[in-house]
Amino acid sequence: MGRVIVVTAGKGGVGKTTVTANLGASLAKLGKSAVVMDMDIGLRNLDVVMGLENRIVFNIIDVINGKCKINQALVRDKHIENLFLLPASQIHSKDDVDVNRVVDVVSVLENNFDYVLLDSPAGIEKGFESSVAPAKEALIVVTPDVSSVRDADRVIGIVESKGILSISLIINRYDVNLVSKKKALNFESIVNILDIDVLGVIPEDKAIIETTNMGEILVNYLPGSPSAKEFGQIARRLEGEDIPIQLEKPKGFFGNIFRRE
Amino acid sequence: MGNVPVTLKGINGNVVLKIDPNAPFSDVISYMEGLVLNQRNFFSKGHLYIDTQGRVLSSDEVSLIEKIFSDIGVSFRINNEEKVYGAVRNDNQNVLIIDHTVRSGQLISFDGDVVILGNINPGAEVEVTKDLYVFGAIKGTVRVGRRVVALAFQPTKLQVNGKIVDFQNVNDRSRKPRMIEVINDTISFKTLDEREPKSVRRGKNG
Repeated sequence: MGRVIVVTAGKGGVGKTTVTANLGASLAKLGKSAVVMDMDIGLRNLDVVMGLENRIVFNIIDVINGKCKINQALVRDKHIENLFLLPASQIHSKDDVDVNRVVDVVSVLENNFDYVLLDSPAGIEKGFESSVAPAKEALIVVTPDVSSVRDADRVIGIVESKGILSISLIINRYDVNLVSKKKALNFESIVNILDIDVLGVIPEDKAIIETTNMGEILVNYLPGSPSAKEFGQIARRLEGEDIPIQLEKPKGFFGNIFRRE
Repeated sequence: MGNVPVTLKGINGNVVLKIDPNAPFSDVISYMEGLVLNQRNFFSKGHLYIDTQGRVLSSDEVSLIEKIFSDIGVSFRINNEEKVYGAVRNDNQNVLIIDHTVRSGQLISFDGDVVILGNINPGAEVEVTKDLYVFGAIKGTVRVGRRVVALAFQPTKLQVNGKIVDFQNVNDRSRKPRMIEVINDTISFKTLDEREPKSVRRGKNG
C-alpha cells in the first residue's frame, strides 16, 4: 500500500504544482515509485511544469469514463524512471468529476505505487473536495504572506473535518532577507498561527521559476540549487528520516557584494 | 421495615430512598427533613433514586419532597422515571471542551461555558452564552455572555454581553493573560499575570 498525499493550499500561486512535481521527483530519486495526479480539471498545469504536455494521450476523465485503463493514461517522466503523471483533462470542468470514481482510481494507484501525490486546485470548492476525498495525508503549502496563511488556516480546518489527521506544512518562497527586514512573516509566526508540524522550508529561488518555464523539474535539472536540496530533504523527512529544519542565514552587506552572481 | 417510614439503601452504586407505602405522608416528609438536617453532607449535591414501593405520589407531595432536597442541591428521580426533580445536577452543567485550535471559517456556538485548549485564529467565530476560557490567544471574533479569560488578546472583534470591547483604548500591551467580565453592566479588565506568554503550539503528532 502506498501513501496518498494531497498537496493543497487554498490560495492560488503559492506553488502547489511546483511542490507536487519536485516532491514527486525527489521521492522517485530516493528509489520510490511515485505518481503525481493533476486534479486541476480544466486548468491543468502539472504536465506543462514537468514538460510532458506533448506526451499526453489519455487523461483522468478518460479513465473515469472507462475510455482507457489507468496504465494507458499514466505518462512516464522524461528523465526519471519511476515518476509518473496522471494528467487532468483540459476540456472538462471540475463538476464533471465524480468524487467516488476518483477515490476508485486512487485506490488502484495506491496498490501499485509507493506515493500518490494529488495536486489540488486553488479554492475550497468541488475540485478541492475531490482531491482531498481520496487522500490519507495532507501537505499544506504556504508562502510567508498573511493572505496565504489565513487561507491555509481555513483549509487545515476543512481537511481536519474530512478526517485527515496527518497534516504537515511546507513553507514555500521563504525569503530570509525579506523576513530579517520584517517585510514578510517569519517562520515562528507562521507556525504559531497554523499550529501543525513543518515538513520543510523552501527558500525563494529564481531557479524554480526558470526551470518551471522550461518544462524541466528543478530537482532533476539543477540538483545543486538550495531549493532543490530542500526538496530532497523534504522527501527524506516524508520517508521518516529525522532531519532538522535549517533556515538560511540572511546575507549581510558584504555577503551581498561577494555572493552576487 | 419496622416503624421507619423511609429507608436508605445503596443499590448498584446509587443511593435509593425507599418510602414505606403504608406510612402517612406527613410522617414521610418529617422523617426526610430529619434526614436532611442530620446528614446534610451525605446528601449534599448528590443524586437520589426514590422508590415509592407502589405508592402513588400526588404532584403536591412530589413538590414537597422537591422543596426539601433542592434546598441542599440534591436532585432525584422517582421510580426510575426519566424526569429529574430538584436541583440541577452538577455534571449536567453545560461545559464544552475543545482540545484544538479553532481555525478560520469554523464557528463554535454554545449555550453554556466553553474551554478551548488552543488559539482562536483570525476568521474563526466563537459564541458562548456564559463564560469562555481560552488557553491560547484570541485572534478571531468572540462573543461571550459574561466572562472571557485568555492568555493573549488580539481579537478581530470581542463582545462581552453585547458590548464591543475596544482594545484601542487599552493602554498596556494586549499579549497578556487577562480576564474581561461584566460586573453590574460595566466591563472590567483584570490582568492575570505580568509575565508575557507565548501562544500555545501543539507538539509533534499532537
